[in-house]
This record gives sequence, C-alpha cells and structure tokens, in this order.
Amino acid sequence: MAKTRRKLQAESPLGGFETRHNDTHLSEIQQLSLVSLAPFTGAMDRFHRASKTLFDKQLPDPRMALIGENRFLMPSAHNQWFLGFTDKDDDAVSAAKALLGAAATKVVAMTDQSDAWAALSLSGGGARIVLEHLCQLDCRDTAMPQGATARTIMAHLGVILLRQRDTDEGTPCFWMFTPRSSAQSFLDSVMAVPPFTR
Amino acid sequence: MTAASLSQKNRIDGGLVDRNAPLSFTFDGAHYTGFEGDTLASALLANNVRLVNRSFKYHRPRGIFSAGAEEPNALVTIGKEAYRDPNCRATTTKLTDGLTVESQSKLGSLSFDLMAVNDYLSPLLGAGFYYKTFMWPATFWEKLYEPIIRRAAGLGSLSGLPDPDHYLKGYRHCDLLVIGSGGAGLAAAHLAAKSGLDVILADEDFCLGGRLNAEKTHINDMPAAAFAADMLAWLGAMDNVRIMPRTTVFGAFDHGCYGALERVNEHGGDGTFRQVYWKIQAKRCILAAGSIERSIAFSNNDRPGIMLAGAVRTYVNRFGVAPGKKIAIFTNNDDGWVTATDLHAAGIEVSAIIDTRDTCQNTPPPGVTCVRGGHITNTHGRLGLTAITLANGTRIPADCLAISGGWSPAVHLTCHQRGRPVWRDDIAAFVPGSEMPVGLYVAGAANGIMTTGAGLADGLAVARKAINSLGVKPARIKPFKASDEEFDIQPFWFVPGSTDKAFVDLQNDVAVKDIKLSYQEGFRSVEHMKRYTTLGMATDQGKTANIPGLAIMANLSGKTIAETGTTIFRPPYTPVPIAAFAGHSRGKSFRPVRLPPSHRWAGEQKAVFVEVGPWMRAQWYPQPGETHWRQSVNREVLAVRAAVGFCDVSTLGKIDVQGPDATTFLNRVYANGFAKLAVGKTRYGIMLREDGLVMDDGTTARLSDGHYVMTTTTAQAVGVFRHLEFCRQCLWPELDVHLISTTDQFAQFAVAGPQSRTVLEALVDPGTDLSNNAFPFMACAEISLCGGVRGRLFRISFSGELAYEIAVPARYGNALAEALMEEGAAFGITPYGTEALGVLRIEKGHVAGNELNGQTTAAQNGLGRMVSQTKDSIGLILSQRPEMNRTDGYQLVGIKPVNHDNSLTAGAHFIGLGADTVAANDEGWVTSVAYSPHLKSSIGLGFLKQGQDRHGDIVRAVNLLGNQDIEVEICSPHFIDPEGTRLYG
Repeated sequence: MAKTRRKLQAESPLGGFETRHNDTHLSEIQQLSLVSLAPFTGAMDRFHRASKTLFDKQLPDPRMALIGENRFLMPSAHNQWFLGFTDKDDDAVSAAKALLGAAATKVVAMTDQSDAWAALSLSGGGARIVLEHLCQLDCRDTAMPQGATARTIMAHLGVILLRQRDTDEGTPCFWMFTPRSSAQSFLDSVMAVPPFTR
Repeated sequence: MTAASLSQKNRIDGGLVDRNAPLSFTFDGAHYTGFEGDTLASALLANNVRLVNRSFKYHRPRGIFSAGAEEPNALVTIGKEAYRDPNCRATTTKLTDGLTVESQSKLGSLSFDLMAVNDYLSPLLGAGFYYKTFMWPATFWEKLYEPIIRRAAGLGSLSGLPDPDHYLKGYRHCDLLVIGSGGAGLAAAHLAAKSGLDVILADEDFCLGGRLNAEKTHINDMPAAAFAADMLAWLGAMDNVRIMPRTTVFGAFDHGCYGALERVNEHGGDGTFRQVYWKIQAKRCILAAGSIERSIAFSNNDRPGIMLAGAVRTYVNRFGVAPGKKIAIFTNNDDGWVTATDLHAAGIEVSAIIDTRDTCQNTPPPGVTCVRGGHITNTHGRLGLTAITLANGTRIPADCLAISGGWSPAVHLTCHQRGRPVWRDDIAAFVPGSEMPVGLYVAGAANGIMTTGAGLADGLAVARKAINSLGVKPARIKPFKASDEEFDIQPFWFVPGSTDKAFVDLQNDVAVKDIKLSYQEGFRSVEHMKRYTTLGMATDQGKTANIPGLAIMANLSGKTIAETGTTIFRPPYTPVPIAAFAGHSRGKSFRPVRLPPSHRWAGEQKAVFVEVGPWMRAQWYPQPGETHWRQSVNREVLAVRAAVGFCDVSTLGKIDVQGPDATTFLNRVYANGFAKLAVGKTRYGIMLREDGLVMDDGTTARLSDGHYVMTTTTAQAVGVFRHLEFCRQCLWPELDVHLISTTDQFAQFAVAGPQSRTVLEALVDPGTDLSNNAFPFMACAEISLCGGVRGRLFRISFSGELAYEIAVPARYGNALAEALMEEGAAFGITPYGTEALGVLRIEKGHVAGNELNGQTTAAQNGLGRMVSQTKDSIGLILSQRPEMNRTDGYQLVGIKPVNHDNSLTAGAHFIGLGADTVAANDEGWVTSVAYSPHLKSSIGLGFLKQGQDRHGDIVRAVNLLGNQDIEVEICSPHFIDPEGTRLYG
C-alpha cells in the first residue's frame, strides 16, 4: 500500500525549447497526445467512417494527413495512422477512443505514442531554408502542399514531417516528429543550419 | 588612377574589377594589392608575379597557365595554422582582403629551390623510374624510398590541426538544373524560366557569365559581358530561378541527382560556413560547362609566362591585367588570332603570331610579325620567359607566350555513368557520346558548338528539348543576335624533335618522352599509359593534358585518335574536401546520441556515462571517497544483493504487439511456446534466426487477450523489430496483428533487491497488491502510481534477486528516479549502472550479448530445452542440424580462477593443462568476466567443449594478447542462488 502520494513532474523532451530568427520560428510542441491507430482485418470501413466523422473528410492518400481544429490524423506506416490531438490528460488512448467512438475503437489497435516522439514546429519565411539543409525531400509547395506528410531521415534520424496549415502571415509551417531519446541531437542539428546559425 | 592601381605594374584599363575596392594580400610574405573582382591569379599577374610554384617532380619554375579550374601549375596554400588550405587553384580563388598565400613544392625559396636538382637528374627520372630503381632491397621501400619520394614529390600539406571551419550539407530540387552560365547556359536558363520551370543555374565562378566575360564579342548589340549581366539580373528577379554562384557541380549520379560544392566563404576564417555540399535533384539537366583550351608540346614549354591563349584574353578583357609586355602567340587554330586582336586593341605589344597552319588566311593586327606553318622549338628565361626560338632559328623576345592547341569540350559529367565521348575531326576534340546520364542534355561549347552565336542558339534549342520532355510548352522568345567567330583548326600536338622537356601534363611533369617510353615498354591502352606515366592524375585530372597525351600515343601507334579512344571521367570534376561531405556530422555531432529518460537526473548524480551503441548510459555512480571505478561498482552490486537498487533499463527494445492473431504470431517467432501464456503473466523467450542460431532473447508480457508487450535486448531492438515486420508483412500476411515500437515511449527501471517490493509498495496507488501471492514471479500488470500516473509493472529479474521492472511514460523518467530515491532512502536504495548490471547478471549466470553473439545455438547457451519441438517456429528446422546438436560441442560454463588473486580476461581461450598453446588444442573461450564482490573473486562465463560435464575440471585461460596464462576451475554458470530462492521470495 502506498504510504506516500508523491506527484511525478512531467518533462517534455526538449524542455519547451523555443527560438526565433527574424520571421523563422522554431518551438517544441507540448501537451500533444499521439496515438497510433491500426485497424484490424475487415475494420477499414469502420475506421474510414470514424475518421470522416472526426474530420468531415475522407481519408486521403498516404501522402496526405487530415488536419482539423486541434487534431490531425497522419499516416505513419502501412495501415497505420497517428492521431494527434491537444490533451492535458495522461491517458491518451482513452482520449483517442472517445474521439473515434466505440464502434471503431474495438477494432483498431491503439498504442500511446505521446512520449515516444518529440514534436517541433518550424514556421516562417526561413522554414524551407532550414529544411533544405536537413531534409532530402522536396518541400516546395508543388511537392509538399499543406497537409502533406512523409516519413524521412533528417540528420541521420527518423523524422515524420507534416506540412501544417500556413501561418496567419501566409508563411509555411512544418511539424517535425523525431524520436524522444535522440531529440536533443536532432535539435542540435536544426540549430546548426541557417538561418539559426550563420 | 588610384595608388592601388599604380602599385600593380601590369594593371591596364578595362575589365570587370572594381577599382574602388582595393584588397590587400600577401604571397610568400610580400604584400600586394588587387581589386574586388580579381582572382588570386589575376592579382598576382597584375603585380607582375609570374613565378608562383615549382613543378611536382622536377621542381621546375612554374607560373599561371590558365584562368580556370583546369589550372595545373598555380597551386598555392592559403591561410595559416588550422586554417591552412593547400593546393588551392590561384585561378579560381576569389581574392579577399587579407588573404595569406604561400607557394608550395619547394625546398628553400621559390626562386632558389634546392630540389631543382631533380631537373638536372631528369634523364634518370622518366616514367616509372621508381618502379624499376627502388626494387632492392624490398624492405627499404616502405621505410626509406617511399617516404623520401613522397616528401620530394608531394603537393601542399595540411596543417594536421583540427579544421576549425564549418561545413553544411543541403538538398535542392528543381525542374531544370543548368550547369554553366556562359552563353548557352544563360540562354537555356532564360527560356526555361520563361516557360515556368523551376530552374537552378549553377556556376563555379564567383562572377557569372562564363567566357562572355572574357570576350569582346557583342550580343543583342551590347558587349557580351554586359549581356551576361543583363541576363543574370533578369534571372535573379524571377521567383522560379535560383542562381548558385561559386558552385561546382562535380558529379552526375543516379536518378537525376547531382553533387555540387558551394564555396560560401572559402577562406573567410570568421566562423561562418565555408562550404556547402549540395545534392541537387533535377528532373532535367543541361550541361553548358563550355570547353577547355589545351596546349602544344615543345621544348621548355612550361616556363612562367607561358599560358593558354584564351586565359591571356581573360586576364586582359575580364580583369584588366596584361600578362606580359611582349606577348607571342603560338596557335593551330583561329582562336589564337582572336587573342592577338584583343591584345592589340588593349595596347599590348604582340611580338609574333606563329601558326602551325601554313594555309591559314587570318589577318594579323597591324605591325605584328606572322609566321605561318611555323613552330616554336625552344624557350628561354630561368625564372620566367624572356624569348622564344622558332624552327628557323629566329629568336623572338617575349615575356609571355599565349598557346592555343585547340579546345576540348568539358564532357566530364557526361561520363559519370560510363558514357564514352566520341571524336570529331572537324573540331579536333571529343564531344559527348550517345550514352549519358538520364535526363542530361548538353549545350554550347560542351557539346562541340564552339562559336558564340551558334552556342546561344544551341542553348535555346537544347532547352526546348528539355522543356518539351517535361510535358511543358516552351515559351516563345526571340533568338539572340550574335555573330559567329571563325573556328578552323588543324590538329598539331607536339613539335617533332623536341628535347626531353616538352611537357604534356604540367601538373605531373609528364613529357612527350614519357609517353614514348610508355609506348615503347608495351603499354598500348590509354588507361595503362595514364597509370604508368601518371598523366591526367592529381588535382586537375588532366583537363589540359589528356587529349594531347592520347593524341601523341595515337601518333606513336599509327592509329587515329578515334581508334585509340580516350579515358573517361569519374566524379568529382574538381576536388571536394572530405569535410564538405561530412558537413555538420563531426566531432560531438558525428552521430546522434540517444539519452535514456532519466539522463538529466543521472547527470545530477554525477554518473559516469558510457556509449552503448547510440545510447549514453550511466555506467556507475561514484560516491565521495571512491577513487576507483570498481569501488563504486562493488558498492552498487552489494547494495542490490543486500537491500535494493535501481537501474534505468529503458534502452531495452519494447514492441507493442496487438491483434486477434498476436498469440499465434508470437508463438511462431519465439522458439519456445507462447500459446498458453496467461493474461497478467510474463515469459522469457528466445528467438532464433532462420539458420537456427539464437537471434535475441527477452521477455514478453500479456497485458490483455490480444495485447502483448515484448522486450528485446538494447543491441537488437531495431533488428528484432525489423525481423518481426518482415515476418508480419512477408511471411504471414494473413495474420491479423499490428506492431509498433514503444522503446522511446516508456521510462523503465529495474528495481532489484530484497527490499524492492517494499519500495514499490510506497509508490503504487491503492488497489495494487504486490504480495508474493498476488503478484508472483513473472507477473505483470498495468498499474497506477504516484497519484494517478499510468504505468506497467513486471516481476522479472536480471540479477537473481527479488526484482521488478516498472515502466511509466518517458516524460516521468527523471521524476520516477527521484521518487525511487526518496521512497527507498530508508532502505539504502542505490542507483546502479551498466557495470553493476553486468556483474549481477554474470553472478546469476544470465546470458547476454557476449554469449548471444549471433554465432551460438540455444543448446550451447544452456537453453536447448526451450526450443519447442511440438510447434513450428522460425529457425526450428535448421536448429535441428546434427552439427548444432553434437554432445561434444561448446556449452556454457562458469569459470573462476584457481588463484583468486588472478583476474580473468574476456576473449581468453581454454587450453588443457600441459597442452601446447596452439589452435588445435583450443577448447573454447571466455565470453564475459566480472569481479564478484559477493564471492570476492574474478568470475566469468564461457563456452567450453562438453562444458556441462566438466564442472570441477581445471583448464587454462590463455590470453596471448595480454600475455596471460592462468588456471581456472570450470563450474556452474550460476554463482549466486542457483535454487532461485531470492528470485521467488
């Protein structure tokens, strides 16, 4: 029986890192829940319906994510998606089940990934300059429109890249998900390229 | 005229330099000035510095020979100390203020090089001389001959200090990459940009425009240089065009990928980026790299002041520099006459034009002596040219000789995927062949179109083809208005009857006589000739020498050049520093580092860290007063055995396995059975590879009917996940099962020792009963702790003690370590690192990576009975091979030294008492060793032939590398609690 009720203090992977260089902004995204969803055999229709209800759109092809208010659904592997949402609760899987509805949750494998990844938001006029020094993918508008997503390698690390909605100023915004344990190395690499370093 | 101009004796009017921006630099300690827009070479010539280097082999005086990347002579060292950068081409180095330059390849001073004695010995130093000369005694080659030769013959040298500059990598994408910004390149880029393509225009020069900046021709009724500037301004204003100056596209690779080196701040030394290595992914590419002029071989054709004719024109027209006061011209084509015209127009005396063609009809400038059908047979001047001698014996004063032996298209990138150029007699040059990198087009002089008007038109025509091939309609633009110069050539490679000093390859001191010798000695292939003579090697890769060299060889063999063939080119076009390829990935950033979730806390405890693959793990936690690492480790081990300790084991691989067929899946991938594992239970499992050898081990816990969590070893976390995905996707796609790694999701701690239950009871929330009955050995559960944090608890042990592994979301890793310390303080809880972890598992006889090294079987590890024969699993069939099951094979044993004062060494081999220490008597090897503070002795694990039957035997553990030969007793690998009393307590 517990004699004490010591409250554990949560720490984000990058300690809430944030920096700005002119109009280029890099910041850690905190309090983001991430749950992997993998429909079991025969459950794709129900999964489609659940995601349609959640985002009011059909599931797009595997290069694109669904982006809604405070939530997104992006492909992460064959027949697997990551549902991301803002949530202050610890129990991301329960929260995801609530979002998807009971019919879908019984037939979808769900795994909490909230602590497995560090998430960084990169936005502004210099965002693509940063990416062109780290990312082999074509991040121009034509190849990566808003909502596009890809798993790739940056700075020798696996990264999921998600082109979010543009900023209010009309500049591009990219979210980068990288494994938590190596997130500091990844951040060091991001900070080592222009415009953050000259 | 400014003071800076006055100090530059050879500076004349005109050119593209900014006379209002003087720049200072030093060369071999002497101070000079140049202007913004100068190269180092043009600034040296402006200051009448003609002697800039000594040659590679004979240490002959050498000057600036060209005005571009083809430069064989003017290699210099720039910068000091750590910033020292050797073998820089003066002809492509942008002059910057404060540049410190030193000549190289000399012993003494440039004007008095002691190694110049080699020149007098040149009759003895022909091609291959060292292959023949330094044959005896053989042992002298590496220790004596080679070091001396290398010292005498080397180019510049690095500082030997860490490179303080910064480098970057980058990736760019475009519809069309245009390489070269001369007439054809600009025309192509212009049309592509107007047609809406995303265009990258790259040029190695800092001043774009290619030869348009060096010529006096007019395009669209304006000077060529002004036209180039106009065009570049227009392109620069386009959103769909990126211009990359100072960027050499050095290689054409697969699938439209081009390697490029951008010299951002080459010799700035101010902490900014020096170079960027770009990978450019282009849907199409137009190579408009122009052409490279070549020389003619004749006696002493290498003195300072002897230059390519096009380069002379460049220095006059682009840089406003006269390379000499009296300039003679030696040519076999019309282009040499253009140099004469431009020199005359600039007011520079042309002392003679010697054209090898007796039929040429060109008109010389007024007052210029012209010799048609003539040859130069010799030159004069010790440290610089003073005169030339013609075949008829006439001696003509000249301090500069401009030679044009014709122009070779820069086909290099067309060869990078084994394309072979083809010979064209009309221009006496190789042009790109039909096999080229996919998507690569060639335009302008690189394609053998050697005149301005035709080059511009070719640029547009080739661009149209490239644009059409992308399914885009080319824009309609007006053709450019430009004239075409005369271009007639009569091949002439070397002056017959020349002395030994008729050089073909200036960088490697390869002369006509060397090629003759090579042929005479039987080297008939151009590839063999190149390697025997070293023609075309080193930094310039024979850009000016290859064609004359193989033409001379063709002449010797009586074949045509087309029949003789050519060598082809590999990347890089020009040298690329290794540092540029490394980019940011060096030093501490060499590779990513993975940090366990309690890393911050461990650092605060002053843990000593160790690299375990990419992970940085706590190795031990020294306490005040501990002066040796083993004191710390012994303390940690004893604390676990006596009370309680904890260790961050988050680095173990963790894989979530879910789905209706998860049980079937696990039952197939594990060699032992998992079909009957109950919910709330954990099982140790071993995985075999298809070949029957052990791949990995770990535990798998069943959290619910269709939900398991598997752990793997740290080292095999990625490999096992990859293996499972292969099984899932390829072997058994019919199974309804899903996998995802959760290694980074959880902070997981081993809490071990007799007091571990008590400590954990203080942390878990009400409702979790940890008593032995409620939560026995190998139990697992999802729990709540510390007031609502969701976690997982497994009763498993790697130490042999009562132990648990507790997992919480990684965000709580540091906090849980603090909580464990706080709740365990009353029991003397002790954090332990990987060293103590190793000692504990060796004392208990658990196998780990040293034993499961991918070369051992389950039986050898004492796990043979785990391989179920009643179900199919990966590796089952091949694990049944007789050789892998022989009873006299290697078996896991424990060992301890007979003399407890001895220390065991991992890797030592078991040899019988009295047996010779030879491979035939090898009976096995030691895999893991540790000092057991519990037994107060060194102990170890190892594999010994028939080991399980030899407990109590004495053998020798021999480590020849460590000069160690000790007697050891064979025993059970379970040194501690073989009955498992502690484990089940």
